[in-house]
Amino acid sequence: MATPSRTRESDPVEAAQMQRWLERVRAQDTRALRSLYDLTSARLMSVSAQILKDEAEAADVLQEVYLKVWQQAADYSGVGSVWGWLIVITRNASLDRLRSRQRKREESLDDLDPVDIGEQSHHNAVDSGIERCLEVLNDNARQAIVLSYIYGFSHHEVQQRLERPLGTVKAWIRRGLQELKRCLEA
Amino acid sequence: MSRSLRYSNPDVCDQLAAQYVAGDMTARVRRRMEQLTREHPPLKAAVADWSDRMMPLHNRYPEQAPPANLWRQIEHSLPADREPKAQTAQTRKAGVLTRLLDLFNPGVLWPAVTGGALVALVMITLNLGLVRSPESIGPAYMAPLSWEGDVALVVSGYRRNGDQPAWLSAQWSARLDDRPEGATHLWAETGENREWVYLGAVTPENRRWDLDAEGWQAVMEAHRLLVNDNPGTIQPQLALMEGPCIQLGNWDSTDG
Repeated sequence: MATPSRTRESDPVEAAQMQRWLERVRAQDTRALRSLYDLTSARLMSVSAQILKDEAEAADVLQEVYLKVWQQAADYSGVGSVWGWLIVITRNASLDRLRSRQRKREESLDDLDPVDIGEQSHHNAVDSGIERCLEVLNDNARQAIVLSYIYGFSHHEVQQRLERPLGTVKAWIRRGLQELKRCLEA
Repeated sequence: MSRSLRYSNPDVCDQLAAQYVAGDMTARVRRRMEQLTREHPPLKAAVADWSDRMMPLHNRYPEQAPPANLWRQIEHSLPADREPKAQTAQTRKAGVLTRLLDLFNPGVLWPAVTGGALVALVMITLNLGLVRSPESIGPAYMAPLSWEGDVALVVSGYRRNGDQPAWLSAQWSARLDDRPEGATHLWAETGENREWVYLGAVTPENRRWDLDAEGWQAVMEAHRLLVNDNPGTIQPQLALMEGPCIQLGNWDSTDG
């Protein structure tokens, strides 16, 4: 049974602890990296696996990610959350791996669970602001954003899957992200 | 609009950050973006904002436990000279590996140095011990590999140390705007017969990996290293990158 994931964006105690660990990682404290790993690896594994659709490759990417955290902990300047920083690193590393394999997407849009693409997940016990704002978007923008952000589809791949012109897809994503931002700031 | 003004413009930063965090940038453009975020705090802040904004979407998916041995692999891949140091608020304590990376950091080093001069500079610096601390174990072997006229990748070989087998690290130059696309694989031309021995895959991120006895022997006797796009066959004339081998210290031929 899938483990329900908890919302992390409003846990200041955890956020402060993660910042302290990262400072110690900068000082080359392996135990601090281990603490960070224990807290974050399951979520980052999920982020990578959604893009790569291959657990072994996702684990490989995760190894690269934590090595990068070790080497570049000083790059985190305290702006934004440690979680956000880690997810960006993981997503980009996964995209690099995906593109380097020049893998063609084999799953069709139909193979993806509708709950993955457009509808709100029932795993969350706590309602998330971005989930509410995502629901307000039109279907096209919502699908395009989820395919791009969660699954790492390139604009070209989104265009092929949704069978719309590339310019239209780019516009959906661009405007959709701005509408999300406005909705969250409202 | 000048470059510095462009990346202070909130709208520009916001659009770039949104594309970087949630959209579709090529690997090359993403590397450029990462360099820009180091140089332009408003852009870095915009990326952080977008990352925090989009992050809760991942909560719709269940977490996934990584393989049980993953932490051990990560720990094994950390530089051998790491030691926990006293905490300081602002200072950065760099290991030998990180200090070597600094040699290729445009913010630290000499922008006018050419590839050949850079090799000489690295050799001189290491031999003078300016980078290596007395307690740390530095590389015994180094190969700067050039791509399109610039030193793009530095491969360093570390001899066996106790239980830690011999290992290689492959570090990309931070001065590059882009990198060879597609698969990249490292080979050594080695020995009297100049045979080609496959050493491992090179990833877009810096990485290190252990070498078996054969691999280390190949490194010790290597004339040059080369990167191609194939782990199975080698055609030197189609190499993506190549460079000479530099022995940095004496070692016993039975090491590794």
